[in-house]
Amino acid sequence: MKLLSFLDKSRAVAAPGYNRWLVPPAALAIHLGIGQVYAFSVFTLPMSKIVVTATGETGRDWTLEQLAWVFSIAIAFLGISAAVFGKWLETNGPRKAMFFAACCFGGGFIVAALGVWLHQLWVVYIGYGVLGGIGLGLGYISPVSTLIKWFIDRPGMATGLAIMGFGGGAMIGAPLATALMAAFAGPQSVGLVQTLLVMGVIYFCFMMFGVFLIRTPPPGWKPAGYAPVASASGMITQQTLAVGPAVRTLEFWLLWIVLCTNVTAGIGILEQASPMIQEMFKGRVSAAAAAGFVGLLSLFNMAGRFFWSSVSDYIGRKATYAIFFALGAAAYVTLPYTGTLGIRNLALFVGLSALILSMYGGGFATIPAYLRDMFGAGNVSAIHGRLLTAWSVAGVLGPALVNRIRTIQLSRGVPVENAYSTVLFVMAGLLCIGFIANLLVRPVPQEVFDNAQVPRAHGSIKVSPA
Amino acid sequence: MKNTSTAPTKRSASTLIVVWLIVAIPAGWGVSQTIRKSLALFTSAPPPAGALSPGH
Repeated sequence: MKLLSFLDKSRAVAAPGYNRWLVPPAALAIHLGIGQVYAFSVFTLPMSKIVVTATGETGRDWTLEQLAWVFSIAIAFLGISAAVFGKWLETNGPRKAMFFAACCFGGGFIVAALGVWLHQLWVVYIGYGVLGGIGLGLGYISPVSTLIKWFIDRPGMATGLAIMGFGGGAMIGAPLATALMAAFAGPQSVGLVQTLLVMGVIYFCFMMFGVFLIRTPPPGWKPAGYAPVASASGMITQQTLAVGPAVRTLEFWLLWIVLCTNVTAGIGILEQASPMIQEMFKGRVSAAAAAGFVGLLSLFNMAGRFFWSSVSDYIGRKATYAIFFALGAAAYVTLPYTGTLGIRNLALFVGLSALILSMYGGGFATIPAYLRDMFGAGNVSAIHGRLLTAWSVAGVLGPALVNRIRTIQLSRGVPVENAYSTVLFVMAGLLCIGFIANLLVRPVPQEVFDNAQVPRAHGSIKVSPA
Repeated sequence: MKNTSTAPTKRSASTLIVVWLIVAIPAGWGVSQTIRKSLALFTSAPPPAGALSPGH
């Protein structure tokens, strides 16, 4: 009971003199933890060899296709839980949400370990997929609103710092899992059960560090010397809109398209990075070098989250996304000509791919600050949660689009090394759609704020001064 | 409006360093692992075309 009261929103309010720079590590602890999901693929091969390793019996192991669903379920539940629990998070505060995120994500590993031990795939789906996915969604959105409130002078930089952690989580998760499996593996075991159990405990403890550290600013707190700057374009509101009216605005759906196109295009290259570089530079890039290329892209994906979101604090969110779409489309169109279609310049290919991935990460990290500018700081987590459904759609659309186009190309007799060109051109087209959607974003009309201010019979006042 | 100072005192500065180290150490380890892996892109030379490995 004492622990539960510690999780209350009122108990998380910072005492006077609290240093706001203690909040980003709390957010990072959560995001570095849940970012492990991108390293799930390190488990798939060992998971497909459990029975054959233990008994030598073939044909009873899970297939790679069956195991791919674990990741897909987790990402789907990330989007669903972020959309469903966003409003609950605004009511109950970040500490409680982060606690449940730690329980779900850590617990997901434990349940998955049970599934592996019993060799029941549906238990793994429920554990890592459903339970872990709920932890992902809750954890992803929980520190964002708090960071924006602490860093109202630099919201892009602050959220970029946290979301950078999500990009970097796989860099810890993959080598950690590999090292643990190597330590626990025996002649008749791939060491998965022990690895999942240990990782569940490690991630729970690491995320709990964030739970204990997180503090919300006292009501009305502003950084010393801070004065709100009126935006000449009116793109930054000083009011707050509730999630319901916000989701009904045209601006919300334009931002949904902005995020969806940016993510779809990025996933397009991430998904195919390793085979693409090997086939476009046949004889010059080995499998090990291609793995290095994927690692390099992950680094730029992570760094771009911090860099671009920080840049957006100075040049504005709309201008930042305009750069993503214009520069991204140009890079995608140029990419095939650096390979088989043109000059075969590996350094230029790697540089352009890294730039694209930095903007893919930047798109994720800049969107919360964009939402804050458009709809106010009060309900960013809830609105952000609803917007993340764009990610779920992109997660399905991106790989499906890439695979379908490539299959059609190959069936028409296009050489394998040239089959990527059409994919890259389509991605450039998607970015053009995003560019137009971003161009159409205008300040939310004042009457939307005014209409939302009218108290309803059983509801609360929907708008308040920020 | 209440203005809370964010200027670190001596004690809060040491807390800040410890707290940042707790997240920076695993993050730094992960990044260094990835950089080591990425070096293969610039260092590993593919076998010359037509060359067979010993035993073939």
